[in-house]
Amino acid sequence: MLEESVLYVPQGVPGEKSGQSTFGRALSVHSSQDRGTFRGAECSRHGAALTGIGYGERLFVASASKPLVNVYVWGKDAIDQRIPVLETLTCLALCHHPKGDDTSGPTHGLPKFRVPWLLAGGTASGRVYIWELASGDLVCVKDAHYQGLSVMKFSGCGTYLVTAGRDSRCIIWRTVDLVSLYDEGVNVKPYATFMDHTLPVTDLAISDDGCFNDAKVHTVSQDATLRVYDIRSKTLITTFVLPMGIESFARDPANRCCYVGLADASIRTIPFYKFNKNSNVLEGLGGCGRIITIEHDPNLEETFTHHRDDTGVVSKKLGSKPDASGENKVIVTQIQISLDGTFIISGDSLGRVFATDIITKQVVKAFAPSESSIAFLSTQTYDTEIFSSESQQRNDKKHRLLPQFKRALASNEPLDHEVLIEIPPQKKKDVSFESWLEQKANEELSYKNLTHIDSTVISTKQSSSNNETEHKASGVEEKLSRVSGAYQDLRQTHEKLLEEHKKLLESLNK
Amino acid sequence: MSLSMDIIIKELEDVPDSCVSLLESLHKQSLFFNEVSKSNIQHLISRTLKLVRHHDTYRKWFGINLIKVLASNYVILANEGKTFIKELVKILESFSTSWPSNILSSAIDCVEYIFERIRGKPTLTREIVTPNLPSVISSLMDKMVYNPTTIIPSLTLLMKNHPTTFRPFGNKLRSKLMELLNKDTFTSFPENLKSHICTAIASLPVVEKNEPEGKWFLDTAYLVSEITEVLMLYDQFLNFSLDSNLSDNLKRLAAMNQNTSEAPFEFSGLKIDLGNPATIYKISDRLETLLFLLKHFLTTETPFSVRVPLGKIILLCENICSVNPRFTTFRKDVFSDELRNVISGSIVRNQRNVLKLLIDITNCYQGFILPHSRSTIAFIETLLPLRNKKINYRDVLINESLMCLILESVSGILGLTSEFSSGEDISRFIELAILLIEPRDSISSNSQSNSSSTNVTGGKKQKGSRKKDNSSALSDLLSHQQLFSENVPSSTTSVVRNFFKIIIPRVEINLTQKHKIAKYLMAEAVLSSNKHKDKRIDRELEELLVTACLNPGKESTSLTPIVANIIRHNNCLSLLMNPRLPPLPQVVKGQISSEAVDYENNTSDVSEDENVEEYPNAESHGKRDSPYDKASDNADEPETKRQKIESEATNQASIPNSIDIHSHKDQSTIKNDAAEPAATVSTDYTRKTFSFTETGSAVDDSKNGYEVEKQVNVSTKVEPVSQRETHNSTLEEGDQSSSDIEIPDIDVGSDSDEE
Repeated sequence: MLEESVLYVPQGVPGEKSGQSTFGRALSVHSSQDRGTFRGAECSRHGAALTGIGYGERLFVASASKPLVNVYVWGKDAIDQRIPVLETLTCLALCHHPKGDDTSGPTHGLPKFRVPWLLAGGTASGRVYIWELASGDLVCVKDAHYQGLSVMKFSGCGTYLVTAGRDSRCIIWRTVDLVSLYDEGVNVKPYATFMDHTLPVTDLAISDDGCFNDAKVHTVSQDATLRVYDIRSKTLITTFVLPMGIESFARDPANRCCYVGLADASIRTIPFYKFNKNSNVLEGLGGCGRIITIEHDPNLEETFTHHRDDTGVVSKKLGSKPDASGENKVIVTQIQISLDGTFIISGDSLGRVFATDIITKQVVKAFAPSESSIAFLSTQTYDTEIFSSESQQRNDKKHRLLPQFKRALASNEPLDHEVLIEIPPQKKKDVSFESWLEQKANEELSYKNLTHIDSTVISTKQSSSNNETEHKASGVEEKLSRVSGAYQDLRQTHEKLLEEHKKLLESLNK
Repeated sequence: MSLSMDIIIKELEDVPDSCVSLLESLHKQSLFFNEVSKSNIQHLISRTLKLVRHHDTYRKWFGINLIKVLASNYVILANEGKTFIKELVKILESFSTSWPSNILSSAIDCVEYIFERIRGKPTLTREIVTPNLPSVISSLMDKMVYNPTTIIPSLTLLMKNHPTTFRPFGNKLRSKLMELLNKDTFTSFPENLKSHICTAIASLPVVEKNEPEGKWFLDTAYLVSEITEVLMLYDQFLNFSLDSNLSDNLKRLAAMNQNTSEAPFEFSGLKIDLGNPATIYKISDRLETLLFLLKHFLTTETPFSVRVPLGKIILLCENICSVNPRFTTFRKDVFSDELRNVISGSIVRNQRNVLKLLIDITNCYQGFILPHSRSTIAFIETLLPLRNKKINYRDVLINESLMCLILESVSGILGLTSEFSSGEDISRFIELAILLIEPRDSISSNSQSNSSSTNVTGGKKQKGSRKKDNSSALSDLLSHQQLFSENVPSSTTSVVRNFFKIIIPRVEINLTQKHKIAKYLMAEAVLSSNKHKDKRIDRELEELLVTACLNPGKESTSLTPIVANIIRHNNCLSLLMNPRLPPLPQVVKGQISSEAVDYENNTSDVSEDENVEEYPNAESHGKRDSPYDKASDNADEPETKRQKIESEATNQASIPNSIDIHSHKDQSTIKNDAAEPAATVSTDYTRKTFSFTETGSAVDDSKNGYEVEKQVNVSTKVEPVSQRETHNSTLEEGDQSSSDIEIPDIDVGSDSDEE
């Protein structure tokens, strides 16, 4: 049965001892099922990465206060592995293996423990670290930004890494360039650098849904703009100007619109198409570097306000502490869209997470609130079978653990490149009953005589044996008659002799 | 249509006419065996067993297949599994060459099926599998020579699933497999048998009690060093000392097995005699075997994590490709052309095998290969047959299979990224691909070469006599030239097309090459459409044409019109030519007509409930303190209100002036629940949503007994463009007031905002 879950990790309460009261949670969107908790999971915003849901998958959480990456596995509350790193990481991004040419379809099945390809981490100093997870090799260290990184993401195909920071810049890197350790003389340069934002970039999304010519990067910033860049042409396509700073962003899966979390704790819908009443057709918005101003929405036609807490009632109820300025300002820190594009799942700085129906703008579910601001939020759809007892992972820590991350840049000698992985099974061809039956029909042919000639050898052994039996029987009969004849003769002789003996005795008595 | 159980049982009394119909009927009924009487089932089983025990081979074979079908029913398997397995083991043990081989294969298939059905079920495993497994394994190993293609994969499966039980048989199996591997004829075995043997050897570390991953690593390291040592034999023919990089690398790779005390694989010695050049092929034979085994070690599933020396393997591949007479000169004592040709031929075979390995590991290790991608493409490029900086067409045709492997391996690596940085790196490969698909006019080229040779050697007499000799043969060539053109092999075409499909979206191809590719695609498509019924073209060609249309690059002319003419009924192309926008989830607000306002008044209580029930920030509407207690309110909803809501829903459905942008029913996500009034006002094609402002005027809602500040907007939605006309006509025919509805723009700012 299919199920959709939301996983969220809080930011942690400043001043409290790490891991005492914070929990990452995985909860079903459509039912009350609790899919797991992760004790002590806390990170900076965008400071976690999830490989998937179910046994064999992992959650990476970069500790907000220590230079550590904590690894969680499904089915275990506590931290499974603590991996020390060189600096405290502010954001994480995970790169799965590139799918390759998929003309022949999937060729390999799932191994029990899946190891994605790369884990990238950004620091407050603006440095980017990339580790190869299967070897633990530090394959790249790059001073990417002038200020701290706020968010980084790999494109779905793994070809690009997009980093954005507090220096208002957004940089696109080619992943192969970053990890090309073994090619001498490769000077890693950004594929593209965008410096259009004027305040820190808070969130970004990459849309690479298929044809790479259409791949785009959406960045949002506290400067109240949403900017859309074309990756192939490295140009700014559209700028949406909003009434206030933007903290979070999510894109509709069908690219019809996007949702931005504004500084006043509202979520605003920005359509990518508009209906032209003059021409009576739907038209795409933006393009060619246009700037489009999104005006205030006093009638709340395009705005979701369920995160607002103007009166401070919810803040008090949840025991939220005011920020440095003494205000209890609520911001929407994370937004995700459900599989079918009908729910917004959003988390805020009060630790609340809601699932909201996009059409009716009503909250359909309020998830268990966290103790602190939501730092990471992810939705995943999966088959509930993966949580059944049979598919549980074996208790094999030796093979489950990832290699510790190296603290020095990996050697550029290809001979030293070793990866620790479970080799996945090759996909087998399913043999249907019909094909098996066809095979049996072919095999049966070898037993059938398809010619007009009946080549069955009629053995004469049977008749000869009959004759033999008869012969034997007659012999036996003959023998029997002979024996019986002899017996009769003997008996007659015996009787004669007995008679003579009797006569002799009588004569002697007389 | 299936036979009834009574008929099946009756048929089983004697030899049936055809087993297939009986097996099919039984298979169809196997799910419902529980409904069949016990006596019938017993009858069926006893007759099946009687068939299996029969001395007649046909009856025996049929009985085995009947067991497989019967075992698909769990109840029968649980009750009779033990008996079935015993009978099957008896057959396996008593199998001799006098029986048809399909009895053995059917019995193995049946045992595998029963074990697979039992796997994971502890009681049945304990009762049926565990006691019989050793006898199954030993009988399979004894009979391996009779049908290795079936038995070896079966043993591998048992080894993977029951490593502990298999442990005592591990060494025996290894020696038997090594015996096969060491045969001189191994390279000429069928591909699937070779694959089964190597998979079984690669799976053997599973049975190790301690550190199977360590054993796996040692085996792999040994193979790498063994390959290196065999490769170093070429040092006898080529001057490795001239390439210090190559000799250093080979020494480092050969040192990989220094730690191992005993060799995990024992290979027989190679006897190479330069006086008999054919023996040189033994080196490439051995390399082929070793590379094939290494490939299986690297790609066969392991139930544990293994340390894969990927860097070393890539380097090994590079070194094998570096052993090339083009870059390393022959030694002085290798002067005979014949010997040199044999050595070159042997090296080409090595290159072919190494590319096969490369293709497989790229497919398996994906991202881990990417850091090596540039160096890998660079050393693959050295395999191209260049002469005077151009690819030699003759050499390409001679080594066509190698060229195809080159393209396949490059495709595999390029396929791992969405964009490849520089087109120049692969322009040679594109050139190669174009050469491979060029029309091959073998006779004319031969005649050309003949004529050129005659010109060189040239006497007039010779020329005249040859012309006379060939005149009859050439007459056909002149009159029926089209019959003498050779087709490009379909395997080559497929590889080249796949290569094009990979590079077109990823690489910026130079215009000349792009035009050649486009020309080829057009010509092939037209030819293909002319050859086939309904003018359909090959699927891969169609995909390639669509890819070319979707990725036009910087070219000013478009392929789309031509492709559109050739391909009909292609969804992707249709979308390109008739661009559509996705149906929007966003409701487009409409002006409220008088009728709509009436409706709005009637439904005010509905929308109000909806808002109160669901809205999380209840304090902004003065109705709710917490968003967390929604369910209790739903339960408290009065029954009268629910009825009213439902009646309103029927009213709403009749409103003609609603236009919905969603053309499909299933896009509605509103639940059909009375507690959620939105559902009650939704219909198939007309959906209304209600939004509330926080600053509206106060309206006394006497029906509900409380006040709500609200402003109700009836939201209308817009049909997709294609359906607009239908709705317009509806509006015109309907009530005049309905035509007053205007569909305003989404509020996204005025034009003045544009800069």
